[in-house]
Amino acid sequence: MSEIDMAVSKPEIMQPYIWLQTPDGAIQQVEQEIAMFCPFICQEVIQKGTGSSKNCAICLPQRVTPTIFSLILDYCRFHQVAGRSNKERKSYDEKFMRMDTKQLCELTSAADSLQLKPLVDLTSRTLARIIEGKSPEEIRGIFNLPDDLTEEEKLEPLKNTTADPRIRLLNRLYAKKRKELKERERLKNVEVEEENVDDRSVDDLLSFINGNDADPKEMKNSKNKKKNRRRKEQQTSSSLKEASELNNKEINGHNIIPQTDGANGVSEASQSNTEDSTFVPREFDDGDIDEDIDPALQEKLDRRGASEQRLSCLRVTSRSQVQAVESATDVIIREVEDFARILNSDWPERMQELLSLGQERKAMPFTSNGNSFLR
Amino acid sequence: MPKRKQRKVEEEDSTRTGTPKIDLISTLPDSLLCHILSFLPTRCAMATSVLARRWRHLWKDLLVLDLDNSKHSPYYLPGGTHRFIAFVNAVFAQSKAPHVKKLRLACDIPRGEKKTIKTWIHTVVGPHLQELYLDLSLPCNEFGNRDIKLPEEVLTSASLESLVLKGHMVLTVYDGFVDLPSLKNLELDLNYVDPEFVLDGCWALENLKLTLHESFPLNASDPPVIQMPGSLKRLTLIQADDTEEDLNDIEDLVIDTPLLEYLSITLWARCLQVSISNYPNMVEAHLDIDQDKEQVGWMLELLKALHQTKLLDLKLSTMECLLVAPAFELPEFSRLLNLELEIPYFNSGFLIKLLHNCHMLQVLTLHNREKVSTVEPEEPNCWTLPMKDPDCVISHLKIFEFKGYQDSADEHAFVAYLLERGPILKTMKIHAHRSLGLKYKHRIRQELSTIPRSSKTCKLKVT
Repeated sequence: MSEIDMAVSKPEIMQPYIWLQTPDGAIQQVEQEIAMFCPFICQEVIQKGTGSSKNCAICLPQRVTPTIFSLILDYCRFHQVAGRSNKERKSYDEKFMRMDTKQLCELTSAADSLQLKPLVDLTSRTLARIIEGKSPEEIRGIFNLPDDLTEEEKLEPLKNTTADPRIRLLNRLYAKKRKELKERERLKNVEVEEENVDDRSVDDLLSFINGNDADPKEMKNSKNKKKNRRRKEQQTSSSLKEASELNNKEINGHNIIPQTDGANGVSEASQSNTEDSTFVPREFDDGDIDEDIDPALQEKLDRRGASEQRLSCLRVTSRSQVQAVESATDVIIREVEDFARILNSDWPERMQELLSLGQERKAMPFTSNGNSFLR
Repeated sequence: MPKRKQRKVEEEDSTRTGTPKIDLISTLPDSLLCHILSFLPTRCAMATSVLARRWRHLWKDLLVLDLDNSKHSPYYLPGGTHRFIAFVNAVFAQSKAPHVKKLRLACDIPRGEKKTIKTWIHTVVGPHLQELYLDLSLPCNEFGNRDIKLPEEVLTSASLESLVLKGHMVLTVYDGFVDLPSLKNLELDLNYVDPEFVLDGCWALENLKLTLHESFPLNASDPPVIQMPGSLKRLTLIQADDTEEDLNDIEDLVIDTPLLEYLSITLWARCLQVSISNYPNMVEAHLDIDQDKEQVGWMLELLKALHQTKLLDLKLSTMECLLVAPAFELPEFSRLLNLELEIPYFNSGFLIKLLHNCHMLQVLTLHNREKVSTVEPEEPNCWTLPMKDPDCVISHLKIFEFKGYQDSADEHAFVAYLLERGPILKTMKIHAHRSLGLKYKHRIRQELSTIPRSSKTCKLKVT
């Protein structure tokens, strides 16, 4: 059997060279071990049998230009040698990364299309290091990014990390209400009229507070994007349940406490179908607000998985709004109570259950810090 | 350096009249941009949302969170942890990621925020979590019980590949055992940990760094045993300096790890029984062990088992124990390239014998920790010229470093011998003992410079 015959029958093993075609049409030969270092080329050879001759050269993806491809080949040529130490490889990588950003971006793109993960990681890390620690203007300068955001939009991340606990609390309460609405809509589809009533009263709430138009459509369209993660969490350990039940101790205290987790714990056990939020409205107490509310609220937030965009329509950000909010708080609280009662007819009974649970817990010894988390 | 390069490119661009500036990075798909952001601390990644319209929501798809509020971090938020807490809450609230693959959290636990931190951990723990790094060891001003109990799922996660826990955390599993089949990297630096409890469930572990603070185990009836998983490639075992009470004796220490490549032990608790296997793949070993005379036997065994290593670093305690051990026989280190010793006193005879057993040695570092005696007269020179030059001196020794040089006759003779007989020697650094004055150092330099060197390229440095 002549060499040519053997080559034809087992192209991928006998041929020491692989034929590749760059997007500009040029065809070149590359040593097999080096080219096969790229998963893309590997796949083409094994699955489609291409690359064995000039006529069936493998077409490289669009993003792999000739200059970039020769760089990639250099990389593969070095790294496919087995005996090199980690130190050697690291040192080579450092030297290899010395190029201008334009080429770096092109290289990242090309490596990605060839599925060469180690090189993608290397270039990505380098680009990350370029970005890190620089001001937005500097970064825009380096990459020639268009400065196409309005001043308002630029401030949005700052708005979203408001430090005032009261504002945050309110934002969260409203988020909860809206999430709750979503559930009501889904679960009580039969009672359409009731739904409408619910939506409208929440709308009133929103516009009353904010003075802007809370878009009712947004609420209805909210997709629970975080559902997957959160659902699994609903089946989480007793420690969560314990935590939430311990939370109920504070009922007679001075905070607004969502009984949600307690309710959840109870409802999950009894297989009921609702995720009730049962507000126990009390006066605000600045000092302890976050300590008691945040985790449970946050858990609820996460579990129900409302997306953040919904929150943004209810940002209460300015001082004057805070004051308006404060004075309106009592009104809201009453409205919320009414609201909750409309939605949840067994709310009083649920409250009783939770209160009694809370009483039992209260009998347990506390740790010195007085917060309900023992461990 | 990259920054300068970019400016250069920009200048070139602007001088070329009429050349439109191309948006370099926007040719990359969103997934790649997100991949780049995943290497940034989350605060920095979040900040990219103001760069351009396209970048507004990119960071929200990040599956990786790097939240570091330690004091040395450039993103440290001063003025109390409340700002950090608000920031992290905002991240969780705004993130659109379906799950978290990696979490790195380093912060302290301020008063009353334990629940918040627990919430974050609960949010992240799930079937997709691959790496969890928690450093809650920063000092906090909370009294009483400040340990956070980790959710049990962390210790029974099938997806977890790397787990690093430092600080105020407690690990418990109520029903069942620790089961971490994918875990490759584990680092524990907790105030209290029961190693056997955790290591039992990590049977695919490759890297382990274990810092022992308190005595273990929890039950007085259980004997304190540490059994290293057989798959281990890198092991670091440290007994922390700050242990208030001495650790109990370790009943059984099992290092039956034939794949081991890296070993570092800092330990002075008594180990009553130690099981050691062969380590044919050993590359680097650092030993800082102090044992009583009765237990020193296992140290000798360990040294023998390390005979294939390429780097050996023996600290003072280890050398002290070995030198006084009866029947201390130096094994042959056939692949040793780099040797570092902290010796309690200088003995050229011992060193020459050692060099005879290290045929391939290229780098030798000695640190003489002997206390300089100013009153006693100098001991008579015990240097004797070796009958046969060690192989490594003739053929391989390139770098020699001597710290704490006291210029005794024996030391001087040894150094001179290496200069005269080492044709491959490239660098010799002598660091004189700090008690020796400048004038003395200068004299040492003069004396050593006059010695004829067999290597023409040898550089001598005396500091």
